[in-house]
Amino acid sequence: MSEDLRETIDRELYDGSPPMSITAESLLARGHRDRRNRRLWGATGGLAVLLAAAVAIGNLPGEGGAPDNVALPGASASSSAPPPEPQYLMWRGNGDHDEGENDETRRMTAAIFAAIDASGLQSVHMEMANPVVRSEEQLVSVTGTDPDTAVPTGPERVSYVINAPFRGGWVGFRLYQKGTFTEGAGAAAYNPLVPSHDHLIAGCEDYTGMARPVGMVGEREVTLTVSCDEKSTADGERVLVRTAEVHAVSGGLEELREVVVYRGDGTALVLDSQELDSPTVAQMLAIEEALPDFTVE
Amino acid sequence: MRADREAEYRDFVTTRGERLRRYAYLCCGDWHLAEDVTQNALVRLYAAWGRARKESVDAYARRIITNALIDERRRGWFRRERVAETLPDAVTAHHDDGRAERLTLLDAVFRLTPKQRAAVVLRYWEDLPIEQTARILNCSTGAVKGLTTRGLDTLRGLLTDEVPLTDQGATS
Repeated sequence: MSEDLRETIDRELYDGSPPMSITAESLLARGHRDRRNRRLWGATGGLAVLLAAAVAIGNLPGEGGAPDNVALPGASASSSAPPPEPQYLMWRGNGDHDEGENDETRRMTAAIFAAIDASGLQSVHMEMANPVVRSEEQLVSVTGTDPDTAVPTGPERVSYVINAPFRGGWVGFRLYQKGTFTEGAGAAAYNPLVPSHDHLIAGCEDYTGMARPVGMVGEREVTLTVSCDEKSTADGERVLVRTAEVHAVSGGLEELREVVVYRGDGTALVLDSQELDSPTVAQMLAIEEALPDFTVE
Repeated sequence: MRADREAEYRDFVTTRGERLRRYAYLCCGDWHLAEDVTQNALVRLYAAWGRARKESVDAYARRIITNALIDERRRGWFRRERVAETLPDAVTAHHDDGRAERLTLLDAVFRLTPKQRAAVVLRYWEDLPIEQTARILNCSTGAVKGLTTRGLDTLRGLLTDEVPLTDQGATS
């Protein structure tokens, strides 16, 4: 890009830039606190990610109030009051980052990278990039779309998460604790790609409507073509494959692929990819086949 | 961390933090998300500061931000909370000379696909060589060329003759 172009971006950027609230002192204070916590808690932590948050968008299956599966006590109002905002149940990370590894996450990271290599893809070992992270989540109820209204309302669960790079792409892994999910595809209650809180994979209905994908500015009208397929592993474990083609009306196509394996030990592994080029469902299944058993608490 | 290393870290944050936040913003188009991701990247950097090579910390930070946005996006296709009802300021900026009616360059950049956008920003705003851009995006140099070519073509189509576009980025 020419110098003119860089200057144009800089000018537009500087015109609309809010002040930065990050300071060296606040980062140092957080760094000190994190180090203390790691020493205290043995390098376990969670993700500063609000998992599976609700996006209030129209024309979704189940629109018109709180989805059946998340109707909560206290959500009703008198007939003269404005209609209450819908409440949703979701799993929320515990709000802290921890990049520390322990023996368990190190073993899982190594096994996942080995399985990627065994599948025929070439794993990429990035310095400081994404080791497996232990994520502690809490079931919360949220009113409307305001995360500040989140109220703890159920159990906690642990999952292990990594976005593993290979040459040319990424594949996501999420391993869920036994007893924290229901098998099968859940209804897409408030969001075309988010399952109800007790499932790990959303429903299989096609969707057309407005949505605001992260990474893009503003809402986009999209058409979502979904297909689900049931398989089993060589060990007889149940496998669900969900493929969603996302067509943006303004152009662009993405394909989101999810493979869920309900494992014999009661845990579940979700692999996902949203690259058009790779990995394919067959490659994700090959990665899963090459993974050893993990025992997670 | 030793006091001298901590002072180095403080200097880095002071001198590079704002630039990294703007990079994150160009990648995601959301100042709040950009600030979150930059802050988390700098915290990760703090944790690794003792073993990081000084000459590579800037590239580290950009890679962490890029990875975080990929990660965020992977989680976030329709999944993450987007509370704001208005678009970021830069997109709706009005100008005294009447440019509010026209598409700004930033508007056009935000219409690129996220990967095209990251490639264009790294190559032409950060002025990084193709090889370094490829390492940050974890793709081949050929893929970077394809992404930037398609990205610039899209920008040209969107902007017509308002901004001159050439594909001369850094070469080394």
